[in-house]
Amino acid sequence: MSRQTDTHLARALATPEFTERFDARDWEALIGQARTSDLLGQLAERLRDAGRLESTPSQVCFHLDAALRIAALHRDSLLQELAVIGDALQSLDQPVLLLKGAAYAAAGLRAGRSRLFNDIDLMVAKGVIERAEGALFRCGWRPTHLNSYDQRYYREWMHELPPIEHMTRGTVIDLHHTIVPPTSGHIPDAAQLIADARAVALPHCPDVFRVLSPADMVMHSACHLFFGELQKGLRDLYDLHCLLVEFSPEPGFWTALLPRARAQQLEYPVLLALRFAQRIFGTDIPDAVATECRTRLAARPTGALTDHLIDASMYPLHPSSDSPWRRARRQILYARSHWLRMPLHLLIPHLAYKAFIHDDGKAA
Amino acid sequence: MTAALWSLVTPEAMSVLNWPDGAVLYNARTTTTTLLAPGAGIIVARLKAGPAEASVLAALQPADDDLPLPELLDALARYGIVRAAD
Amino acid sequence: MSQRPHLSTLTPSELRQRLHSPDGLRLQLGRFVAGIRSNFDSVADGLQALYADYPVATADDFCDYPVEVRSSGLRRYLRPQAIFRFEGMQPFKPLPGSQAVAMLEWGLNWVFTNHAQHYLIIHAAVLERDGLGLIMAAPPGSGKSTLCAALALRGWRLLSDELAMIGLDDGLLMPLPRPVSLKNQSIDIVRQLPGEPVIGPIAHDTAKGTVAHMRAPRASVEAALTPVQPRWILFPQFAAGHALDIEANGKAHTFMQLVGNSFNYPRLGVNGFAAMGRLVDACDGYTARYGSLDQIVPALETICTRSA
Repeated sequence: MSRQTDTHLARALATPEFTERFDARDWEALIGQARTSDLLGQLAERLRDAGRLESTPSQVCFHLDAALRIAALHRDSLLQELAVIGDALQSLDQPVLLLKGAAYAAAGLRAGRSRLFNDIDLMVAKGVIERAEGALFRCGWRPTHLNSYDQRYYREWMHELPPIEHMTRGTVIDLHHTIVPPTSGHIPDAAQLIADARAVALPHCPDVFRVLSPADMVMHSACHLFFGELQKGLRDLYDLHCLLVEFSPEPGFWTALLPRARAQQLEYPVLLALRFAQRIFGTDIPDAVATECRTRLAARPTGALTDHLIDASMYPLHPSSDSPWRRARRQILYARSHWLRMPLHLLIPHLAYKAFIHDDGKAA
Repeated sequence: MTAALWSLVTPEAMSVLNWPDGAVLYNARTTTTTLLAPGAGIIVARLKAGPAEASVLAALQPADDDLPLPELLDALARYGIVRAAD
Repeated sequence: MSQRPHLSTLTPSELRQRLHSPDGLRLQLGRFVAGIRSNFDSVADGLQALYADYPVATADDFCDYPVEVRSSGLRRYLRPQAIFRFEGMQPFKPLPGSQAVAMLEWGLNWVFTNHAQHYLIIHAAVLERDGLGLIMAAPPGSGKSTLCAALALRGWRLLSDELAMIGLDDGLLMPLPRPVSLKNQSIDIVRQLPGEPVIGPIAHDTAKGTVAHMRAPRASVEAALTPVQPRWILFPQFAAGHALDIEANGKAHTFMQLVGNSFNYPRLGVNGFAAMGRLVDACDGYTARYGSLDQIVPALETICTRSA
């Protein structure tokens, strides 16, 4: 990290012209950071749309093109899988919300373009979730966490069921009934989220899927990032940046966002999302919203410390952008993510159990 | 059964290639690749173009095919490849 | 590209210095540049023995795949372990330090099969004769690498011992000549073949038994940027004492057998299906059972001629 390369990826995503004077070492840092952050497809898309590919060395273009190909394959298989899931859940006669990556792709949003998709996140009303799980079992999905401790942990304390995996294709579904774990102390009104969701139409698929309204989608994306373990911090923040840029012209989006988040008791992650998107990607945020964001974050007692810790997780885990000090701060954040999601008396037994399992696994 | 209309289960997701020793079917929905007997390959390739009546399919069957058409369609239906259209 | 010095022009200490440097040794492998870092002396020796004829890229070249085989921490002095890294990530578990050279080869295979998505990749040896390509696909233990080494030593051009890379856009075989991996008794069989084989360091007690590599012929390395039209697909089956028996395969059956030997066919979806169809259409397929190289090599030289 002797050369200043550690912000190459964020800067190239924000402003593709930044790559204009790149030499071979700069490109290596950029491609490496994008590979380790799962952002190579998005980077390729961004450079292509900005007309930068002509001035990009052909060896580099090869890898950008490879990433676009992989992303197109991911998208195709996601849509095929959604058609199967749609068939399976049609009989519920209930709206099924797509969350995160699947939602971005299904709604045709910029955030879903050239992105990799792993697990498929679905949300249904709490009263329907067991029926939904049963319908998926009948179509070949099976629980992945057979251990009874994990089953109980998910069913009692989490906002989702244990992940289920398709027997032959290996595709994984996370079935949620709300957008944050109830144990985090935040209890958003899931019925309201479902009522405000928007329909999406998918090819060769029954009409069962919805996506969250723009403000709710940003709110959930922010919760996922800042209540999570921040392992893919930069990728998740780039999702948010794309959502904000795309929703910005929608009438009422900016006036609704913070009040909506406040009403759902989820203002804090949204404030962090706005601050970091603006800092890392230069996201355009109306002055009034940016001012409110600053004021409210400044009022929090541990604001500066949290800020400092989160900042470390916005650097790719790549030799050209990592350092021992950043690694240490990410470790602290990992513990923090559990503390945010669970009350302390639940967290300590859980971490102790996990630690025991890990040591056991290593010894074996 | 001669009047029945047959189609592929997911024509948009299915691709087929035919050779003298058999046919290969790819189903993007299930991500499976299946080896078919030559006669079955001809039927599937015809249905890829659109639904067809059993009498049309019977005319396509090679004379030396040892499986009668109803049994062949039944087997393809059991594997989730074809279905009788409504 | 012909201006670039070969690895053999580096002194042993220059080579070690590059392997220890942050940029690594920039080695041109086919169309790719690998940046190799390692603190194992055995890796330096192995590269010197097996990659002498490969061009070393310059500082201005872009490195496609930075890889590292490293022993680290205290274990380095007690019971050294080889750790493989790609872009700082560690995709598999460490191996005993004695297998560092083999780990570099396996790690590079992993990198190519997971990142070069422009190709349908089949686990096969690939050679060229008369400008046309022979693909030999078979599970480990079927004698594929021994046969591959024998053909390469008789002047067939080696494209790869492990990876057939078929362009999704042009249907051509992309060369990626690298050392031929030999196991157990095949090491001695190849050592005794005419054609002056060069065998690198031997690693004992790996998961695959005793492993060594044969250097790729210089002419194959020099032609590494010229792709080849595939023409023949062979499924070889060696069995000691077996008489020669070559059978033609139908295309649908060849297709299904290649699917079973492909690394990335499932991931490529319908594009992989189309590429496999085009490959099979362009090729004659055979299954060959044989008991010795003396039977199979002349037979292949009869089948694999341009007029056939």
